[in-house]
Amino acid sequence: MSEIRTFGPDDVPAVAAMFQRTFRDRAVAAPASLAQHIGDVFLRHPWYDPEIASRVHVSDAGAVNGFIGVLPLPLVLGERPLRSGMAGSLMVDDPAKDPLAGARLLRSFLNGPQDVSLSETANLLSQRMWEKLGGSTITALSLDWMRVLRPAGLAIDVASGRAKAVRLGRPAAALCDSLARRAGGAFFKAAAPDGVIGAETDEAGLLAALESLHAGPGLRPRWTPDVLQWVLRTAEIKEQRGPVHRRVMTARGTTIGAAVFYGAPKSLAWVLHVAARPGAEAKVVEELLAHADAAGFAGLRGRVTPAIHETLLREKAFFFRRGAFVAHGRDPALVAALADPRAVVTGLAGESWIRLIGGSFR
Amino acid sequence: MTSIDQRVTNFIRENFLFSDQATPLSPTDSLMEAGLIDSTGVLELVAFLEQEFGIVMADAEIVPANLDTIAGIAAYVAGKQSAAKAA
Repeated sequence: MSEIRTFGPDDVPAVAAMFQRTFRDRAVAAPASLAQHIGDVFLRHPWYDPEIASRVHVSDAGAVNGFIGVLPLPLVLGERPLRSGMAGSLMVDDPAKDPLAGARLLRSFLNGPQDVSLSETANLLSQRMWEKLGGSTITALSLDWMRVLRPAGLAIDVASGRAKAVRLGRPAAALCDSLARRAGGAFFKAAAPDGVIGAETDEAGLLAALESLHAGPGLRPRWTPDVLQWVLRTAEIKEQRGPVHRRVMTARGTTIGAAVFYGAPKSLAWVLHVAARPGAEAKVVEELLAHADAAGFAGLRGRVTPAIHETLLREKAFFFRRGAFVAHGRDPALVAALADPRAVVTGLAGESWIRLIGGSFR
Repeated sequence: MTSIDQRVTNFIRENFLFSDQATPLSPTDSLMEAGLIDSTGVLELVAFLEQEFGIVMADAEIVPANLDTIAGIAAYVAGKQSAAKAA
């Protein structure tokens, strides 16, 4: 008889193979590095909790044919510690053959002992399943943003993902963008805010900044320096996104913001995480955009949070829907706290930092 | 039809057939093969069964043998109710 059970080390090869078939190239065997990463984030996470763990669906024939990945995420709201899990990578081999497997996996996770269950990458089907099980979509966290700085360069960058030869068009694109930026006035330019100094920093500098910036009363992870360092190191390489950048913003000697993003000049910068001191959100975003402009990036994109939404609107970003942020909890106050501008539940706190999103495995 | 059969049939007609009375729905028709129940539909069905009949479905019980036909659903619900009475 089919069953749901906790994901264990012996399941890693089967889950890696299923991930390869479902989300990558089914004609190629799963690389060892993919299996290694799946084991790292879902079994060797420093916060690993066997009660809030990933699960597999095992078919009648005894084969692993379904998976839901769960990242443990101890949270705190004010002084109240909370147990939480961030789910993703929900997949089933041949769902038409076993349409109940995905539903069972999700239901099993949501019935766990955690105070609140989260996912920031729910597709439409997954979102509906969460909602049928009593979950809610947090609209304020379900949008991606993009700020275009060099439209022709951005078009080349996006198209070159499909055909590398398109990159030969970069000189022409640069000329078009130069003309567009002159003709369009301020539309494609991002101005630096007064009195803010931004600089690249190293891991230690970023860690120190994030610790001070995320010490507020909002719903946030119970990060310790060693856990946050582990997350940052795991997120360091995302080959499809480009090199990692860690940026810290200061004003009058005080750290007011930090950001982690990926990318190389002339391409799109992928913003993973933005942290800002309350009241300084606008200046932090403005500095990040201005820096990307000065460095020659074609544009930036990232996940909207309530803290930076208004600034992004003013700064001429546009918004679109990718994965939905969904939540399930018995206490409505916890679900409401997710949409509070002080909440820290995406980026480094979410699922997007793992290399299954934006990494290459060879 | 038993009362359970009828209540389940009504639920399926109202929620998955949009109250279409013309489509034949036999107690032994496979709801999955007919495309009536998918991964979201099954969660609606489970929620209905738990609320309507006062039962609790374990994850291990969410299998085609219990949910793929109206007859199978009725037998499963009747079994759960009998077990609850005997306990």
